[in-house]
Amino acid sequence: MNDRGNFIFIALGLMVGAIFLLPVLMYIFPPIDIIIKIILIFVIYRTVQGYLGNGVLTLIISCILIYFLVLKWWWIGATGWFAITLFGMGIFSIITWGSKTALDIFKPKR
Amino acid sequence: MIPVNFLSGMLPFMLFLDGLIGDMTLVLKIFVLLTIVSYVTQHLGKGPIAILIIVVLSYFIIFDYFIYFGGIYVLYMLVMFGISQLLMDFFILAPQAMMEQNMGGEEPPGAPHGLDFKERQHKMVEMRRMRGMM
Repeated sequence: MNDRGNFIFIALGLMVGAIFLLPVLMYIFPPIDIIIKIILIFVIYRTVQGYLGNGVLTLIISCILIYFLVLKWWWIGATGWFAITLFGMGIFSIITWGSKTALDIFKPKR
Repeated sequence: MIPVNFLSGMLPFMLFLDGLIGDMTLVLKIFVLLTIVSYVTQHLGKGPIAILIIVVLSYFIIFDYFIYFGGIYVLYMLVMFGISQLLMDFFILAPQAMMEQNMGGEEPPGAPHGLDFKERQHKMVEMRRMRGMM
């Protein structure tokens, strides 16, 4: 990869940084931790409800997923949800194009 | 030879990874099961044939050949969430960057780049200043 193609690595690094920003914030600020966990519980329940409809099975499967993704491995749940949200909003495309543009601006032309 | 201190130091990390992988495999299996149930009930309703097909598919996909179907499901979900869009961005911008490199740092003719944008922005600021907008 040449020096002008380095934007791919920069973009990937920025994406990983953006994704892991949420667990770090959750670890530092407890109110964010509580809010994100509540949002995650809603998201998981709505997802399972979308697959199975209303019923006891929905509650059981939601509880299992909530235990693993919100209580036990909360940082994986938060990271995954945040990555999906950023993908959905097209933030990663902005980061990719933005990092290329920023490199063009700040690198001196030979 | 690997020192014993290194191995004993790595042990908590290995145990952590072991627990993580086991739990995440279970979560992935639950999501695969949800997808199978949703797919079959959408096509066949909730009759006995649907339940039979769900059981057969679940047996093959979740228990028998999960080593293949787990990876396929993860890829499917990544594509669904738009990873292909990201790859397209890379495929468009990387050749452009290489072309610029081959041309000795010059931009290919007609290609939009950051310096154009910077100059355009600078001109717009000057124009606004001249019109008394700033």
